[in-house]
Amino acid sequence: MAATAPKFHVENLDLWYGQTQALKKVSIAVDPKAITALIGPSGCGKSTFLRVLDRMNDLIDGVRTEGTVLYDGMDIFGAADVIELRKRIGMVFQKPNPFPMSVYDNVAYGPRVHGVRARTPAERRRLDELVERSLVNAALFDEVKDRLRKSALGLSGGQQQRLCIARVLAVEPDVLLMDEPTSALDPISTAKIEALLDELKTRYTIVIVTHNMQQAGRVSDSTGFFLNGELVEYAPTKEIFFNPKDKRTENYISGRFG
Amino acid sequence: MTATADRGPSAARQHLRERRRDARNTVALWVIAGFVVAVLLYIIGYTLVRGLGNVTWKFLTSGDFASGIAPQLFNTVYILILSMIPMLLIGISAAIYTVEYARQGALLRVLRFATETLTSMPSIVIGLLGFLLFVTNFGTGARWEFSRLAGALTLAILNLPWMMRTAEDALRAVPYSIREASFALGATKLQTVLRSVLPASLPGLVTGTLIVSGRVIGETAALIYTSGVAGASSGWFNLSLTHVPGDTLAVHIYTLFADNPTPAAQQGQTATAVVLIVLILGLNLLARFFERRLGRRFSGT
Repeated sequence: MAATAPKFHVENLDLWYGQTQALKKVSIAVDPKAITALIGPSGCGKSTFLRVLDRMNDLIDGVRTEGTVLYDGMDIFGAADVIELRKRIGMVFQKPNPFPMSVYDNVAYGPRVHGVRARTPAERRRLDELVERSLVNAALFDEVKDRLRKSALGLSGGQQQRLCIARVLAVEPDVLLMDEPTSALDPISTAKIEALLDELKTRYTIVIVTHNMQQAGRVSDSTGFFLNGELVEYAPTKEIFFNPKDKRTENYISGRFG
Repeated sequence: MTATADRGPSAARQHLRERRRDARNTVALWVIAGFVVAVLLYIIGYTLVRGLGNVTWKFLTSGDFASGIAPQLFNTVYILILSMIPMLLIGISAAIYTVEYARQGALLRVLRFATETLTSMPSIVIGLLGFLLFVTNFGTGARWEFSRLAGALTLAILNLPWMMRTAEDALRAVPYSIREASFALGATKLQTVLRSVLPASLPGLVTGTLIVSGRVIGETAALIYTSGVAGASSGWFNLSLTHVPGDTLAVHIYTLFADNPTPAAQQGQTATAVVLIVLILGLNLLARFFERRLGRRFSGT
C-alpha cells in the first residue's frame, strides 16, 4: 500500500561528532502528510537527527554516520544527489535567517538557484506567480504585498520566519524539516505559525523539533522522545502524552527533568 | 552612618584614595587621547592654512610644473583604477578561497605567512621589485619604460595583502546562517558564495576597497622607480599604459621638494598636499558611511 509507506525509514542510525556519539541506534518510520514532533532535553540529539534527513551534517567536519536512512525508499547516503535531496526536503531554522535582500528575492532565491529564469515577460510572470503563491501559502502575502521589493530585514521576527517558510515552499519541496521554528518568536507569531503548520500538513510531510511540549501536543500527529542520543519512545502523540510506555518518557512529560 | 564608615576610618580613607586615583587616571587618559587628536588636527590644519589659498581653479587645471597639478590629478586617478582592478580580482578571489573553501592545513598556513610578510615589507623594496619586474624586465632588455601601468601593478602587489584582509573580514562578517539557508535550499557552494555571501558582504567590500584606495593614493616610495617622478611630461593625457611615465599627487609633493626647493615650489607642495588630504579624507568618510550601513544590515530588525 503506497499510501502508508513511510516517507523516511531510518534504521539503526549512529552518528558521531569526532569521538562523541550523538545518535545511538535510532530507528524510526516517519509518516507522509503528517506532522512528526521530536522532543527531548537540550543536547539529546533531536536537531542532529533532523539534520541527517537533508544531509545538512555534511557541512560539518568530522561527522560520521552509520545505518540506513531511506527517503521514499531511496538511500540518502548512497544513490541520492545531495542537491536534489535538499531541494525535495526543505529546512526552516531556529532563528529566522532571511537573506539581506528584498522579500521577493528571498522567495525567488531557491527557484533561481534551480535554474528558473525571468528573461521574458512570460517567464517573469510565472516567477511572480510562484513567489506570490509561496507567500500566500506561508500566510504572509497580505502583510508584505506592498513591500515585496523592500529588504526582508525590515520585517518582524515572526514575519521573517514565515518568509523563511515561504522561501522553502517556493522550491516546491515534499518534506519540511523545522528546527525549533518558533523558539525565537513571541506567542502571537508562534500561534500563527502553528496554525500554518496545520494547513501545510495536508500537502507536506513535516518533521518538527521542539523543546516546547505543549507545542508538540498541539500540532503533531506522532511524537518521538529523544534522550542522550537515543530515541526512547516513538508513538502517536496522544499515547506519548497520556499513556507513555517508558518511565523516562513519563518523567520528561510530567516535567521531572529536562 | 555609611557602610564604609562602619568598616573603620582606614577603610574609608582607602576608598577615598582609590576614587582619587581613578579620577587622576581618567584625566591622564583623556589628555593622551586628546594629544593624538590634536596632532592629527594640527597636521591637517597647518596644511590647510598654508596651502588652501593656493588651491585655485588654475592650479587644478594647469599642467605647468609647480603651478598646476592637472597631470598629477589625472595620473593619480589613472593609477588608482589600474591598480584596483587586479587587486580586487585577486584579493577577493583569494579571500573567498581562504574563508569559504580552504581547510586548516599547510596551504593555508603558507598563504597566511606570505601575506603577512608582504604586509610588513617596506614599500621601497616592493618598488624596487616593480622596477626589476616591470621596467627592466629583469635586465633582459626592457619592454616597458617607467610607466603608469608599472606603477599601478607595483601598487597592486604592495596592497594586495591589505585588500585580501579586508575582503576576508567582509566575508567573515556574513553570518553562517546565511550560508546554511542557501545550502538548505539546494544551492551549490559556488551558488551560495556568488548569490548570497558576496552580495551580503558588499558593504564591507566597498569599505575595504575605499580604505585601500586611500593607501594607494598616498603611496610614494613604490612609485619612484616604477611610474617615475616626471612632472609635466608631454603627453600625460594620453592613456598609454606602458611607455609614458607620470607622477601622482603624492610623488609630486616629493618631486617638488627634491628637484627645486624654491618658495614657489613650496607653495605648490602645500597646495598639492591639501588636495591629497582632502581626497584621502573623503575616501575615509565614505568608507565610514558604508561601514555603518553594514552594521545596520546584520543588526536584525
